[in-house]
Amino acid sequence: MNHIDYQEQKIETDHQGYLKQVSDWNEEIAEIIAQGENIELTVAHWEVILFVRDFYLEFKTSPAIRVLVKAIGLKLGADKGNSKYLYTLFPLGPAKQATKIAGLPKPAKCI
Amino acid sequence: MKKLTIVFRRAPHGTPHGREALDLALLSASFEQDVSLLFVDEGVLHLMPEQQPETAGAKDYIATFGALELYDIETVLACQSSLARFGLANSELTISVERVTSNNITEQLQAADEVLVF
Amino acid sequence: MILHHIQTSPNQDNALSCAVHYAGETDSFLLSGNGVYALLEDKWQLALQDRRLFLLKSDVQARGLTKRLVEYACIDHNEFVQQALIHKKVITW
Repeated sequence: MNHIDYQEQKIETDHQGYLKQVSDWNEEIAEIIAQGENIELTVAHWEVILFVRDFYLEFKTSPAIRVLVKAIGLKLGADKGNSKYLYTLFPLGPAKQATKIAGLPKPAKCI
Repeated sequence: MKKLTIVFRRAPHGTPHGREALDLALLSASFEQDVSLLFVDEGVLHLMPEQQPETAGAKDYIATFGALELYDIETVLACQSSLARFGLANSELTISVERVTSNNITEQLQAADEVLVF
Repeated sequence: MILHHIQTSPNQDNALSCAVHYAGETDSFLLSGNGVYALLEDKWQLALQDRRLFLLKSDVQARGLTKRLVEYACIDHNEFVQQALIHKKVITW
């Protein structure tokens, strides 16, 4: 079984490190996942991570990259509403890495 | 940009069709196609309020309809007479839709570049 | 002008009833597979009587309906492709 060690507990993940249970997540676990991705979380990262998580909890799906870009632009200003900004934060792909750190399942289609 | 109309004609949850239709709609919209959704016949049951698919072990794709606007899917039509047939004529629905006549639907089908039925 | 393609029996599925309900006056219908069974019932004969209607010949033959459905235009696969090209689009219900 793949898992993350967290305070004496084993938090179950899939073979790529995505949490099996959305409800297992908390901000400390997010930090642990982010370390594994070599990302040091800043306020800018948290803005995206929390947006993606809220989106998932409301709509039961992770947002497509285009939707993420648009929504971040609306919420945080046009200078942040582009995929370049998101790739600066999550170099291996915002859809993949932000959802993983947010404790969500891997998006079915990486767009 | 293609004008794509995606038709929901089956009830949700019993078959994978509705979920596939929605996946296709979101995917097409992500690729900047002009996507319209059309609910007819038992397909209008997708719009039934207070659904809790997870209690029957099904995935809650109904919640995902709430994201249509964020995907720029603005034309969402439902057949008035189908809604009436299932007691939804005056009922609040899961998402905001335009209630249209059969003639409106005929026009919608004629005007689309492509129509995909699920 | 749309070619509405129905592949299922009207007792199994609402495909034919939807197509008939929402088709325009100049549209055509193609029944294939168990869709051809519709024409054994008065209700559907009536619903389709003023429509341009084609049946897929091999599916009619396979179901033993050649004589019963002799008055309808039966077409083969090549003619189906030609019809698909003549019409503005095909909707498979």
